[in-house]
Amino acid sequence: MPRQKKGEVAINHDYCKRCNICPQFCPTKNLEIVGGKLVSYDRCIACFNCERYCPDLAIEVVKIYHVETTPAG
Amino acid sequence: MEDTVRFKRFLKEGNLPTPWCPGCGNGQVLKSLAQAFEELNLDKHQVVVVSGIGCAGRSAGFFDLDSVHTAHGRAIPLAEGIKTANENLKVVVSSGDGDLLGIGGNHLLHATRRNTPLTIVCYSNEIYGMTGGQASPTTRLNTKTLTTPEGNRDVPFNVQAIIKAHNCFYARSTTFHLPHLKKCIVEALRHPGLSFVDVITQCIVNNGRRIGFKDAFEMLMYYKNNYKINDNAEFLKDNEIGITRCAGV
Repeated sequence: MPRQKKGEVAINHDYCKRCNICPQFCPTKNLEIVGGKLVSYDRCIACFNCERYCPDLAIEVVKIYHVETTPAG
Repeated sequence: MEDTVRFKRFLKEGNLPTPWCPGCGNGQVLKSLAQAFEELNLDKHQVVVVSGIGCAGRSAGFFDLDSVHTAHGRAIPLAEGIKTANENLKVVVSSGDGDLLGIGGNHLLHATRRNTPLTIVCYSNEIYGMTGGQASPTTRLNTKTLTTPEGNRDVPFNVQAIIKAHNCFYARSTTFHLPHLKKCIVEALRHPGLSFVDVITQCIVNNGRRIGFKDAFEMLMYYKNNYKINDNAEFLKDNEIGITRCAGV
């Protein structure tokens, strides 16, 4: 089963200056600068490192809560 | 709103983005200040932020509080005036090393002598960043800058000794140790007398790239490897960050 993403990285592209701090802090390589734009994939583990170290307040991480279901039987 | 971004109520989001270079540490200190206000749950009408001139001087304009962007080096006297007029206010000076220690150095000496209840947050990037990278009072020995191409020949300002000489609160942190930085600012705001938080911030464009750092992340990693947290010291060593408590408080 693929790992579920635990957070949604909301990037404000007007504030982001592509300083390349957050991609290097991300432990799962979820953030990357592609063609002069910061993009986020679906490997977020909601560690909040990118939000904490962003100097331009461009990133907000929203945690995703998954409901644990036990298989029937 | 998530808990982690609740501090944004202290900032004027309409004025963003910040005018600083990509990778500049001033934004991280700005955030930490707002987070410290949030942690103490301060009333917006009880805080005043004063800043001088320079890169860090622009920070006062981003607070959704009463804030003053004053003349070069005169942030401390103005803050002392505000505190004298209304002693119920919490007055925070948020300015750079060139402004507080270089041009306003004398005012800092006399503020420590009077022990006025202010919180001074010094964005110490070790360079005059806004004017292109001249050597500042905190530039390290033998550092290459625009005005010292063969290395700086003067020793940096010993801020800690000046502040501690009159038994004021001194804390040092960096922009890598952000939770520690927030703790330092919170403790400084709680201190009854003059408190000084020396924040080592990265300036990649005018300082870091001249001394061989590739990007802001490398400077942050340098802070991570070079500085050790020591919150119990009487007097911090050069490679230590932490809170030094003053006797009798």
